[in-house]
Amino acid sequence: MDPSMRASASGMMAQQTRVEVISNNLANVSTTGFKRSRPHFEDLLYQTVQEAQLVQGEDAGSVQAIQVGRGTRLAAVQRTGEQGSLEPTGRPMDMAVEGPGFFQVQLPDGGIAYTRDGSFGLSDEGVIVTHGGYTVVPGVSIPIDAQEVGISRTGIVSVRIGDTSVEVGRVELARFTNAPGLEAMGENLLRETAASGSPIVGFPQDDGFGRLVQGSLEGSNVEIVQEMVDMITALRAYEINSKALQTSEQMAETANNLIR
Amino acid sequence: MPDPVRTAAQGLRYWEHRQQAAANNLANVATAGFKGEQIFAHLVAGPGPTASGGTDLSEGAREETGRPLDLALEGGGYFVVRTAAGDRYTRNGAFSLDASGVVVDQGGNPVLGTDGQPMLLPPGAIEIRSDGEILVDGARLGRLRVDAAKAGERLAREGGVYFVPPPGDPVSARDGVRVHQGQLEESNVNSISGMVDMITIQRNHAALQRTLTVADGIDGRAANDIARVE
Repeated sequence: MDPSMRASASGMMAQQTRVEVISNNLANVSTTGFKRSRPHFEDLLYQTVQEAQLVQGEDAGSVQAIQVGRGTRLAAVQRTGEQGSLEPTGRPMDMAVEGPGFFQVQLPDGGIAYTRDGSFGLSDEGVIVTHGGYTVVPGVSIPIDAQEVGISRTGIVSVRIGDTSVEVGRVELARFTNAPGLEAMGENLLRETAASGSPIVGFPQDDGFGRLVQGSLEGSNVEIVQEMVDMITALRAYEINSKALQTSEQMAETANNLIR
Repeated sequence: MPDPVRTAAQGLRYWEHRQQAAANNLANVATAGFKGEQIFAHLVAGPGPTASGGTDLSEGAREETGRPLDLALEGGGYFVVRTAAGDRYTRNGAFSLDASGVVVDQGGNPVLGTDGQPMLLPPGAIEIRSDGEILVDGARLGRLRVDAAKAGERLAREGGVYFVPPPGDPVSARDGVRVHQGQLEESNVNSISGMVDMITIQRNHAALQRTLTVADGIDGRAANDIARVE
């Protein structure tokens, strides 16, 4: 196949991927703690179709080499780390992290997952769990007779029983050298990878960690207008690549018509 | 007299190169730091135009992203990245930290500082000044290496938005180059002029095809009709 057609096809596929990423961002515009992703593209290998050469004659001089590119490819889809806006909910078990840090979630298989979604609740045993039912590390239990639950900015969970206030535990956070390297596993959970580095565990408001805000949730950081603009750009770029493909095809047809 | 059939064929090849470059440019309309390919025609001895390549080094628009390690260069210069194949130049400043805290590009290759070494950053708020100075939580940790392209020298391209540095000692970019934090340089391909280009390419290609057909027809008359013995 003509390399120009292949280049155009790669351009169309790249724009299609871009639309898929944008669609997923838009679908999660109201997902708690969601971080938008953006695709990055790079050009493909170049082929030198004509070496640099010296020419003689009236226009003597050197002619630069011609390198023909083979199109584009998806280099990475990167999750952005910008803070989403905090939305007050008034529920005492809703928590948001303002600044860096992830809640840690104990998975049934023994592993730990990470999330920015702090819409927690209590299990039947009174342990703080995610809405999926997974225990939030380190597994703070709220006594049944507790009348009020307070969570401080530094993560200390205290309850009021009768007239006395009792401290029952402290929420831990984890942060990563390269947080965009975490792998999304659905249910608003993220998994540690070789790219993210190992978790650094600490308490809220420690050095390098954000603070906890009780009674609020972190909204999605997707901005609809931005995504719509990106979507229009992607569609136009898709179209123009398909036009380029058409042009190459017509030129090939012209060449075929050389012999009648 | 040069053979018109060969001249037209040479022309057809030239316009096909132009189309290949146009298709690759348009495919990379969303590739950060991409520089468009150009194909020029030279009239030299011999039939038809001779094509030669070039790179459109004009600056792409800068897009605001807000990410602390998205960097854009203003002025002629390149970031330097250490790949398995050697040091490479790039204008794509979509950098991030790897698992150990080293500044890397999209391909995971370390970005070099002025000392020629990869840069390891401790956790904290990253600030990058317009002269490439890197500060984490206010402490100076080094400076990004930005090399200048020597005037008139054309850099070979490689995939991954890389350019191969010229042989010889690197030249540090002059004071005119500024680093913008939180921005990315978009592709410098203009899709509208790319579109207009393709119309020209297609029309000229078709015209040459007709020229070739006509020239071939004349040859055919000469060979088959004039020489016919009645």
